[in-house]
Amino acid sequence: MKKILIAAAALAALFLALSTLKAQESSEAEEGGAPLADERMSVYGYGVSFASVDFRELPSEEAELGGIAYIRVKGDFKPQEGLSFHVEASYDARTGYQNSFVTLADAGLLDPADADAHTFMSSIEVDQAYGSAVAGDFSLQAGKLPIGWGSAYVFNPTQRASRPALLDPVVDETPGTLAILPTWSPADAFRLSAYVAFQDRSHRETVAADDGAIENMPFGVKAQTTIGNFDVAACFIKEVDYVELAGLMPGSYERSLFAGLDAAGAIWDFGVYAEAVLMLPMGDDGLSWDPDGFDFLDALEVAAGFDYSFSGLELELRAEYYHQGSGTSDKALYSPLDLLSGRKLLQAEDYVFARLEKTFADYFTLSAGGLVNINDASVVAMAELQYEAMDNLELKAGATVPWGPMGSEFEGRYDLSALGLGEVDVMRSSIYASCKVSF
Amino acid sequence: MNAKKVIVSVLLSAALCALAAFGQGAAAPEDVLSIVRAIDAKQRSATSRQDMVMTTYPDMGDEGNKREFAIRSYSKGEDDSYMEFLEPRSIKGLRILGKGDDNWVFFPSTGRTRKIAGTSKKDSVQGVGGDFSYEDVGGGSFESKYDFRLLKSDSGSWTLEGVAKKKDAVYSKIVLTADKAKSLPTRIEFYTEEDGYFKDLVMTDFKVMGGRDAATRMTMVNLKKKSKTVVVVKAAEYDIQIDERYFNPSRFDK
Repeated sequence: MKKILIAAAALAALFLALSTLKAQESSEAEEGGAPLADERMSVYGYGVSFASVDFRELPSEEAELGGIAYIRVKGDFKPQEGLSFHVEASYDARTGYQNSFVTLADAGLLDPADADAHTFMSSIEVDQAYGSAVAGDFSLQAGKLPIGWGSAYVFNPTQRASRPALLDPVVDETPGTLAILPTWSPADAFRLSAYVAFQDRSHRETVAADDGAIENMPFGVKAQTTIGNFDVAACFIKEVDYVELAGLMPGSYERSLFAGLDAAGAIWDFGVYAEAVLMLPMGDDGLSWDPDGFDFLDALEVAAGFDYSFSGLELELRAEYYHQGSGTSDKALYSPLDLLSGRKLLQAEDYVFARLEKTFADYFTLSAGGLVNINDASVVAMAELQYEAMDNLELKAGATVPWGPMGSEFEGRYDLSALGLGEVDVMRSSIYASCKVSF
Repeated sequence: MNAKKVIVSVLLSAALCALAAFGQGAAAPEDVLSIVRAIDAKQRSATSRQDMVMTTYPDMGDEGNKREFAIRSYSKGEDDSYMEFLEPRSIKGLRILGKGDDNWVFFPSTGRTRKIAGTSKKDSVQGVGGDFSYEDVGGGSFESKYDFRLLKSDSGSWTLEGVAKKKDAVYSKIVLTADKAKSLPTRIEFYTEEDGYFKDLVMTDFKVMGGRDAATRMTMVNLKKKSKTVVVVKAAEYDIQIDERYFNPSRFDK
């Protein structure tokens, strides 16, 4: 409680500071001919109110509600040219089925009455805090920074420093990773970048004794060039993930090495991209070479897609195919524990994402699409109407409808009775509305 | 906010500002080619830095229905441009690098830089409340695109008609009015085979900025859609030293 009060006070102070800054900027703009405010230091961000109902159970009393209040405050400080500091902090409160702890408690995976159980309704986090320095052909970022590798839109096989927040209703930021990231770019046609991370992919809140072991240090190296219309990159990545699920999966490090390729460009008026990694055949320790039993397709992870704008119609089509070699085409082999622990968000091998987006009446955007599991013919259909009511006010209403045959991935219900637990429902049919205010 | 809208908005603003910013002093030649070359010459600068505010009006008769963008831009030569959004806050920090026909966008929320597909110059530019084609925001001199003839010459201005040199050009014809004293365009009418006269660009509020005479207010009216976009240049500097990182695809986001 004390933590929340302190955070509320800090946020209030930030808002006050912000309102002062905004007032100064407005008066400068009205003078005419004056340059825009040179924002050496600026505070900005957004707040989202989100409400949803699981309509699959309507109109019965079993229907559940979910709510999210999310505030993200961002700050920039640029003491001099070539030197900057960036920080992002968030307040995230989730109730009902939008809170993952409620889902876990429903399945009997945790007991909210247990004093040691992590059943927070809200959290406050400094998600990013890093400095950037640029000198000549070199640049360096250090701190808790987003490492956003990859050209694909939905799935990014080359982004191995953090777990993806797939289909999160309010957050699209890449989580900050404790790391250093140098870049060397002697010419436009050649760029070399690398990172060394000081935390594993899980970004868990608690520490383990072996976190400091050098074999548990993730890293990545990427060389990028331009060939014709395409940006092409080759990379080598070491991923470290710490996987655990209270009482069911003891904590352990999983280490993998990947070789990857990434290309993005244009063919005619189509934007096209492809991003792939191959998990190299390593032994169980993740360190020794072990090619026995290596299967190329099982080791391959690929995302490839395109986008296209229909001239004059204000209509955009986007489609992406995703192959996850480590997945399975047999739904009997789906692992709800992998899902609940965050080890693997998707279970199958092959997926297609598609979305059509139409802008009309200047400020309205209607989008419809879905994510299809090709292997078990289940789908998550999505439709949304977005209205930019003002420069910094965005209203949304939409629906997310998972559907599939019994036992399919997006049908969403897993029977954990073999583990002495109940049924867990990880997919919800939601009707939602949200309001986002940027400041 | 739709990324393509944003890119288009910025490219449009940059192109309009480039069109408006010319050098001081002017000859007053009466032969058409010399006039056009004088105008083209004043569009060039080695580098530039501009602060601008762009306001879009989907309905030109409704001044209350508008969206405003504050943009800081850097450019080098004819091909390299860098833009950063300062307002609205919903897209603050969004950065766009253009190098020739290639564009990269840095999304601050994801920390990801994406290459954006090239678009046909014939495509209508979406999302800024008008019908700007990519031709409007592209480079290239008037002389290279049109064959001009002098329609009118009075004490203060020339009026030139330019007919497209290429059959597949976006505009079949433009009518350009230029101030004699400054060799600066003050108005351009755009015509197409299909729609006839359908767009009008008016440049006003000339001021000295960065040592150059420049229009600080540009209004593009789409006569077909009855919409308009107004770009106001707040500050500008020319031929200054700009850090190369702003034009490097792997470092413009740093």
